[in-house]
Amino acid sequence: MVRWADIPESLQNNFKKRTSPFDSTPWVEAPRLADARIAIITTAAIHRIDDRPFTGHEGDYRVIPGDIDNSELAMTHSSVNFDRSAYQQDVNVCFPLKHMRALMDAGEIGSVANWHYSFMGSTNPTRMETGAKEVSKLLLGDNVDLALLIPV
Amino acid sequence: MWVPFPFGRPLGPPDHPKIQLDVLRRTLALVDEPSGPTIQDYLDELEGAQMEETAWSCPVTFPFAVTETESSALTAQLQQEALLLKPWFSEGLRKRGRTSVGTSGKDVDSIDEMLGILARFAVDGEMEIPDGYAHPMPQLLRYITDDVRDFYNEAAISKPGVVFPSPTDLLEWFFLTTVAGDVFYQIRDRLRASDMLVLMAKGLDNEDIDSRLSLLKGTTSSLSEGLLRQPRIGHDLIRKSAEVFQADQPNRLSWTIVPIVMRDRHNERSDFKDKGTV
Repeated sequence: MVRWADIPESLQNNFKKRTSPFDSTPWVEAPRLADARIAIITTAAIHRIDDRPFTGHEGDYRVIPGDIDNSELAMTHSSVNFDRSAYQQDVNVCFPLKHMRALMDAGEIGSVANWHYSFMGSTNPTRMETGAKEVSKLLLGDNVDLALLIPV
Repeated sequence: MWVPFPFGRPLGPPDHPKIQLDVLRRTLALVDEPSGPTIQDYLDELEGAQMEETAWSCPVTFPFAVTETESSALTAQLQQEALLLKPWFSEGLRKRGRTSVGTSGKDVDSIDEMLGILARFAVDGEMEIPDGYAHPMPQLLRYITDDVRDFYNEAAISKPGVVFPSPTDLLEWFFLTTVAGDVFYQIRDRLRASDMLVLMAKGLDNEDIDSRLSLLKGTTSSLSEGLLRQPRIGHDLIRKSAEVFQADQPNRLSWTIVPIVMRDRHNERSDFKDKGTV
């Protein structure tokens, strides 16, 4: 996540309007990384090119298969307040599936999940709750131990 | 993990796998912290050691023209810009094997048509579009502006050997030097004007309208007088704006055209006349 102090004040104010503190800060013990099965969850509104584009801020999500090729990805985020050129040049800046596979091959992580998930950020968290709960069940069904949440 | 990289680059700069993997490893290693939650700061010195310091410049030189005020002439200007960028876009597509252009429902072969749609909306508020797009107007504007900006950006980043631009480089190049960037400001102004009329009709006060539209404080009064005298906003657009407010959508269409950091910089275009693309 971009350091709060580095975010322009106009955007900080924008964020403050959209978020509220969580009631609790639960902490769960994770398995050793070398044993962990990891899924990526991105808020960059990335999806399969033939999937529905993100339109509003309904809190919906998309499923990205773990064997997808970068040429099959699209990004339809509604915000114009982040740089997309880096993603256009190199998907790994915000969806590092290739790097995750490399870490798995090197034995640094246990495995990479079959499915990964994408939301559109800058959505009210309360609207995302239903989708988030669904994704958590899907992650369990895929035996995922660890979710790597990458904001954009 | 706090990172020193700008929005859009959470794992670091493009084509720097070593940095990206390092960020990834250090982030994953947070799970081994003895207690939590925890936030850590990624190394700052990495940025100075490994980032290029050479200034970026656009590979294309096109004439800095005064933006035309008639839609056909403006369309011609835009299409001329696209023509100059097309070789670099094609080179980038060849190297990367993919493009982000296409969310409007049509591909890069329709860029000229998309530019025409933007020009006609910007100048005349025209909402009629050819068949084949994936969304109706005015929602389509968000996707067409995305496709056009993606086209421009993908061309701009594609010259071999040129240092990769920073987000600010690209924002200033697109919004302050290209005709397309000027048209984006005009589109935003038209969408914002429609939103403003809807909010005024709802009887809200100035401060409420300013905050709902993310305007500078005290803007409504100065803008509304001109709107009421000569709004040039079609009924279709006003009706759509009203639907957005009725559905309590958190984002207005006018917010999806020009980034927040560029919104108050339109008048800097003359300052950039001698830079980069001329």
